[in-house]
Amino acid sequence: MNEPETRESLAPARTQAPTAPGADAIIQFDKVIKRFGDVTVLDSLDFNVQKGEKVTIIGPSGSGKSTVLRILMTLETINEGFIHVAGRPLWHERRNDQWVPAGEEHLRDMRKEMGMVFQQFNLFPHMTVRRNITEAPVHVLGLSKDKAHQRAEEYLELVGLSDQADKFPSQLSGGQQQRVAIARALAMQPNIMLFDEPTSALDPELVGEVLNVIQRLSEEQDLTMLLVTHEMQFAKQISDRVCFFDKGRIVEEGPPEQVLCSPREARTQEFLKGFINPD
Amino acid sequence: MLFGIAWDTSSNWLFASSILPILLKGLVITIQATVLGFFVAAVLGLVLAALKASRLRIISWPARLITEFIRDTPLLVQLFFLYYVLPEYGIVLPAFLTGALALGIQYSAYTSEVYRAGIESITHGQTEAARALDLSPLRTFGVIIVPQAIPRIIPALGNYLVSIMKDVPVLSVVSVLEMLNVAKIIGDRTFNYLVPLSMVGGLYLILTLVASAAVRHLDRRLPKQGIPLK
Repeated sequence: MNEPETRESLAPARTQAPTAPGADAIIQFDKVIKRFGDVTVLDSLDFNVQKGEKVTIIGPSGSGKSTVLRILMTLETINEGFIHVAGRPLWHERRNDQWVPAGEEHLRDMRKEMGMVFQQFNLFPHMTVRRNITEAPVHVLGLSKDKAHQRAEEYLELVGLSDQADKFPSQLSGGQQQRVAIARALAMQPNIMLFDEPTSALDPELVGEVLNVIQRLSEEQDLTMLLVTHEMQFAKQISDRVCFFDKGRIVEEGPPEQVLCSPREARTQEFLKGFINPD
Repeated sequence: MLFGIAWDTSSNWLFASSILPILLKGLVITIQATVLGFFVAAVLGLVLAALKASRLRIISWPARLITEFIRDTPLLVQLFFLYYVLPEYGIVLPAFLTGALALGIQYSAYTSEVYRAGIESITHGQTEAARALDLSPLRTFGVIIVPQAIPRIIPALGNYLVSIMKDVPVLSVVSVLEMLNVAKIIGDRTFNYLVPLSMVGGLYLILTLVASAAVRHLDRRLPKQGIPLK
């Protein structure tokens, strides 16, 4: 459906080998440039995530933080640069000694590494909760229906919604819907989970239940997590590292206490003033 | 006498009741033309919509042009073209088929837009979620998009069904014996146009009201979220 248009012109072929990924880096951005028309959203971004690391991205809207996740999930292409995921180039494949823009088959393969949770949940409204969760495991991974149902039960229990499998999304609260969306992404058993402002569309009283689920995931599952959020207190609790993005670059990064409580950069200080003190 | 049924002109009421069976025979033709025309419009419209959605301009552009051409020329011109020009090239179809085809072609331009709008009304987030789950484009279309688009498409198609029905009298110009043509013939022979034409109007009114009510009923009954999948 929504294939990235004119991919050929967006991720240019290149002859020189990309920088080899670091030993433990599961995600590596190498001078990645992303433009929307005249606007440069990612400005020669270098960015690494280690295996098992929980990284939170914060920053003003338009800073490119969601774009990082969307590029990883192959929902957006890149204009320049190189990205490795799990040691393999994401947007390029090697053909005739040249790195050429990756074809759909390569992208489909790479997507199996990642799962994504969207701000607007994006559950399939005409499918029951169970079908939402089992659709991809059955038709992408080739699981039997029984196996997929079993897996759905498992992850529904993890997000605390075991008794809701036969309901439709519209019969659930926003917080419950987002928990189903988390279970749906987990059921594909990705190594990397991408959370794109998972609580921004929720009423304040429903934010907690979703954050609790994400917190439990970060403790119980051996997942690499990349989270874009405005929940500073939460970011402080679960992150190994916080990155502050502005104008398509990482302005400041480090342990959550340092970035959130005693930021060095003026731009970070200014941004965090808009939030209640994370202490 | 028409279709072997005689009329009684001694009073307007007797005249009316005697020609009702004749008009109903015309009504059957009207309904047949409507159904066939609608079928052509529904199928051809889907083909046009698919072509227009193509990323290859060499496919989408001609489809767009055809749609625009069909929409911007009168039904009567198209009908005459099919009825008088095609036989010159050896394609001879019965008047009824020609008429139904003309209606179908004309309305395919509109139904193709209905399909397009129905599919485009599904939010971008749905295809993104499907992509993130690695569902194939075909599966995404068949299981995510179409079931959600159908409840938005069907009522709009139903409205065009009613429109086609009201355009069937145009076929009288190529001698299809649909209801209006039948009424006109009765008028020609009895010099009483008032009764048969009023009856045609009344029958049409009933037909349209019933069809519109059916479409509304269907609209209410359709699951708004899409065809449920368990």
